[in-house]
Amino acid sequence: MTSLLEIKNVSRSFGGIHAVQNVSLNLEQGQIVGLIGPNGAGKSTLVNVITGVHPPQKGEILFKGQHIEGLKPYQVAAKGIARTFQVVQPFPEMTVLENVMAGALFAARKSNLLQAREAAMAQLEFTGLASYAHRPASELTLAFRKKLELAKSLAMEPKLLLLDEVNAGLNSAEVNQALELIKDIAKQGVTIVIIEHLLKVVFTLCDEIAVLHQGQLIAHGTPKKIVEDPQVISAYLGARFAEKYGVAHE
Amino acid sequence: MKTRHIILTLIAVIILAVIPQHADNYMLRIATTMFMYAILAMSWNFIGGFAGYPSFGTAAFFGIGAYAATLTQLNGMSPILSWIFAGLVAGALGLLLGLALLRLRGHAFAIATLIVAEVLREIANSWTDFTGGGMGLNLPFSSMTPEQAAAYFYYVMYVVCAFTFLCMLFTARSKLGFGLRCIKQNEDAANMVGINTTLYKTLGFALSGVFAGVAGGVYASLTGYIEPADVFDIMITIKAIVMALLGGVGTIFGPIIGAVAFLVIDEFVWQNFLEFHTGALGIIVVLLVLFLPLGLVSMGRYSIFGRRTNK
Amino acid sequence: MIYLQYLVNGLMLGGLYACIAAGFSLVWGVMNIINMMHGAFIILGAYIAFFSHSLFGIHPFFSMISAGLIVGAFGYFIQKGLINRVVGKPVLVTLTLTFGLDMILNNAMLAAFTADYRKVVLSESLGVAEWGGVFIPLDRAAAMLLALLLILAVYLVLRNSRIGRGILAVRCDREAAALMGVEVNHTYAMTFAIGALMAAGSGALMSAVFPFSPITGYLFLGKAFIICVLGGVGSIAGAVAGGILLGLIESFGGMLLGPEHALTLAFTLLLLLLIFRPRGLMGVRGFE
Repeated sequence: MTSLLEIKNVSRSFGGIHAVQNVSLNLEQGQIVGLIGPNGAGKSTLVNVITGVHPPQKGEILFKGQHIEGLKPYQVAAKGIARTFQVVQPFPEMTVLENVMAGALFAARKSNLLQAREAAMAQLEFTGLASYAHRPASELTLAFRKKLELAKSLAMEPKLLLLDEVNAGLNSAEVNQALELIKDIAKQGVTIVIIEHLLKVVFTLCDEIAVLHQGQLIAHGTPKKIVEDPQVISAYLGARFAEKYGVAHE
Repeated sequence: MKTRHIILTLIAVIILAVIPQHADNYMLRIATTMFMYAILAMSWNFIGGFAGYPSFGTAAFFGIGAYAATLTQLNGMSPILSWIFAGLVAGALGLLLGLALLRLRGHAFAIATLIVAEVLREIANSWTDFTGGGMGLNLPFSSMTPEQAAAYFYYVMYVVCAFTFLCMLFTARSKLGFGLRCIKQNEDAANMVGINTTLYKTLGFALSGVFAGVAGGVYASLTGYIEPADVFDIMITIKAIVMALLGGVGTIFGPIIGAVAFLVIDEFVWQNFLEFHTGALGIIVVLLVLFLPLGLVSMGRYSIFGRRTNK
Repeated sequence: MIYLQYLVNGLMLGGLYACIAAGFSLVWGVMNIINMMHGAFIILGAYIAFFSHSLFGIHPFFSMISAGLIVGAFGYFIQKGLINRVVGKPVLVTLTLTFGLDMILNNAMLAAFTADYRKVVLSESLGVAEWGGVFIPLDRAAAMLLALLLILAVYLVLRNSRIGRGILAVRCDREAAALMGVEVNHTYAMTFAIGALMAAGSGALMSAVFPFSPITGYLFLGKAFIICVLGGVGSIAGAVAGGILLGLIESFGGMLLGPEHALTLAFTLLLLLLIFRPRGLMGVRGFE
């Protein structure tokens, strides 16, 4: 069975900066994969490359066996890949409902506005935003805007969901809520890649973790393996953290 | 759409339909001009209001429509067909230009569209063999009396205006309209959500061309004579934009309200400040931009024509 | 040999053009505002020089300074009072506002001075020099040198004075500049004033070289815009490069196609540039 997403030797540079260097990675359907690494490691760039914002200069990307490198973002979206942004990107003056409708109408190819509206309401219920449906998106607090991003992405009916630092700026109660939501999404069969700095999130949620450092993939495996990997420890985790988490997971 | 909107619109429709029987030529001509500018303001609204791309190219479409209609009529085409042809030519120009220019944003797009109109004017001026050059073109002589012509063109502009309005209404509620609104709010997010922004923007631009082109064609028949400085005049564009701003950019009723309000003010200024005409308009524009940026439809919470497609 | 003449003509034209565009480019780069009044400022400067000469006998080259200061102050107050309210708003708003202001200013000048073309006729012209078969009208050459001098002066002020560095800081990063204590509103007003000053100054210089009238204002606006796209927005060096380039294009283009087509040629070139290289030939400093 082919992997859901195959990233093969993908490279992308900007000017002199090699943001992503020769990264190869496979994702299987139904996994929750964490993507971690220090700032500037290339995590967001990799997501941008997958979603078509920046085409790879080298390498290939196959989604469900089809080549998607070089496709435009809207085409990638239609194939079934959705992503959230680190800095949320809503349609500020449209209502919450309309924001989510956009996902349903275009990426999920609903045939008319009515169907899109229904699908959108369903996602708003799922994410707990139903009571805000007719407020302008700009009125939401940060935590709710993150939920809106999520609802919008879900309305796109993705097979693969890329979450870029969905917890940044949230307090711990909000983070827990977000975690539960992500678990529910995974239960529906959506494959998830989650870029995160909050390691407790990554280690509790993810089946596998990929570690990027200076554009290169330095480790890929189960949380336990990652925590014991000396390269990862020196590049990102630090010895004390590794010790604490290594022991906890035993 | 609320019932009261529909009723009011129907009343307006009926009143407008019977005006020619009660008005003199002068009033009819003002009304005809009002319809024409309403068309231009609405056409601008497709790209400037819905999609948020500040086009300054209305005159380019108007002018090319005027020339397309005139040249085909001079070669034997019936006026009505020539007007439709004018719309199609202008729409095609919109498609081509859209593909070339819509990758630009903000200032670059605004100025580029403005330049297109200027370049077209120069071409019309110089290509004397084809366009009559600076001497312009005369249209085939019409056998209507002035009274008949006034009423006839009133109805023609009225129908085109109504048609443009319906198209705008339809678009606003369609997937295309929704997509354009998303593009205006956040084009990057629109791309990520699955909208083929290039296609949508180009369609919006083409639509803005079609209606302006038809208006240009009808204008040519109406006046009987066209010349480059007249039909590619930048003031055509500026007035269309100011009317849309005055009424409410991106709204459904805004352009029409803006056109009516503007021309009422314009008549007043023309009667009383002839020498300061442009300056007075300039003052209106400045006041508008500074104090009424959302247009007339934003005044009062219970305004009659309050329906909007977006902010 | 004739080409050398066209070259020299183009260079002299270019110097003046550079001065026209530098102020326009600065305002665009620092405030992201395209000042549609720029052409009118140039003409206003020309009128100041014209009347200074016809009423008081002052040579236009001296009027460069007086016109610059008068119109510069005028620009300062217009920005502070009106344009400042729309800085940061969408392009449509700012463009329409400055367009409206331009309509007012142009109408005022038309009403006050009529549309008649004027030109300062100098009683003691500097004459024409000849150098290797090339004719150099010395008045034009002097105008060009003064224009470049004005540009240099502004450049030095930008680099070395407090307000100048404030302007450059705001150009790079407005919020950071504000955090550093730069008073942004005053800085914007000064930027606009400098733009107006350079426009009027070059207008005064040109009053002795070209005939002018309120209706030619928009031609200069068009050229300023082309120069910005050619040379890049927001930098003085770019304006100089673009100005000289446009001067040369017009000179040689006029030779090939006839002078009445020069502007169309420039516009078409501009359109192509916008389509294929929207960042201009030298890139953009500040906003796009």
